[in-house]
Amino acid sequence: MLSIGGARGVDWFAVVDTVPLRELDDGELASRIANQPAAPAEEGELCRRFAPRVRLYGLRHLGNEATADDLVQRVLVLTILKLRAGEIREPGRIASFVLGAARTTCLEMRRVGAREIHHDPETLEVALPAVEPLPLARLGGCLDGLGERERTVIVLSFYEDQDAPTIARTLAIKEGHVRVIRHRSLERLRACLEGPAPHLEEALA
Amino acid sequence: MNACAAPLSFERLMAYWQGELDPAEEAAIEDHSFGCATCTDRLDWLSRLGAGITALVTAGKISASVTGDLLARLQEQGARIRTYRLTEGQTVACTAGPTDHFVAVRIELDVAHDETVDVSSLIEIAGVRERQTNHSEDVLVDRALKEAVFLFSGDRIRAVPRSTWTMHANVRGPRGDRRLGPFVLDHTPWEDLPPAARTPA
Repeated sequence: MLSIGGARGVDWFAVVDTVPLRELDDGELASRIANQPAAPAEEGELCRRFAPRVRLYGLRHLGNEATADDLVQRVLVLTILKLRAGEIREPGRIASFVLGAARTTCLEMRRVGAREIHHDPETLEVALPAVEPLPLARLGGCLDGLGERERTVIVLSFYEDQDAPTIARTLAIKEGHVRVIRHRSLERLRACLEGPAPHLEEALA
Repeated sequence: MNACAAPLSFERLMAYWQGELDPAEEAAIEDHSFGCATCTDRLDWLSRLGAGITALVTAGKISASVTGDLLARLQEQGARIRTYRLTEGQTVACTAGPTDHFVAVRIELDVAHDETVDVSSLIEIAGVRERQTNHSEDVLVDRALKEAVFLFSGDRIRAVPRSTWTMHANVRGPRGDRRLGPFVLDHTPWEDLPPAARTPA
């Protein structure tokens, strides 16, 4: 089995940290892969960038992590193989190609069932970056800092998976008001999670 | 790589994530985010936030004003919820057992659709001279069932000492304001209860 980049068992996500590939835009990376006889570091960097994008697309359209991860494998392997073979007409527009591949593959997976699509893991496998969870204790503290109505909207949005119109009916308020509350709550949670840790704030006080 | 000149707002990304947009709007967001590391990061954060909130609720680590449906769903999933119902003027003895995921307090409230409710609590802790207050604005009220449901994490209630919680509902509306209550919870920590009073949730 070949890993992306041609060398067996190499963690390209560690290797790419030592080269300035992150300074290149997506199109330049893709062009290098298409135009060089071997570009393992560029392939690794491209996969590192696009894996989360395809995964999120998969979560949104397929609904679970396992099939989203499967989508990532299929789309990135296809992309790398096509680039190597010079079959992508415009490597500079690689994002459009990857999105198109994600849409097509996703439709196929939904149509025939994910397991029915042939995928030979013996030829290529992409090492997926780990998804780092948010710190739960910290998140709990940030949620406690929201107002009662804000926390209700957040819980209904994420745990009950309710959209704004449904929450509006539940709370007997206007849909626009739900969106305002949701927007405000998300901004506050982001700021809270990215702010200094509580013990540091106390030390600095 | 350049940062995004106009990052998509969290609310816009949330609308996309929840499927609230029409197909053209959805496609526009995907077209943008597939070429934008900044907006991908923001969408990824929303995804992780959702996973984190689900984990906290499932573990009984969140307190919130919720619906009866959410309560029922948690129970279906195996959550142990100790529930207390209060009517106006009533005092109810309460506690939190060692394995309770949540404590739910269901307060009977009859309010109209154009009225909002704030709940204020006066907390008297045994042996402590100063009383504490707590105020929750614009709480969720199920007008069909005529109740407000407050869900508290089991950990949080287990940490509460011997105390009395006196709650009032302040109802505000176009026909004027009114005050309902008191609704009183007489809390005793589990370990201070006589064995006969330690009932399962």
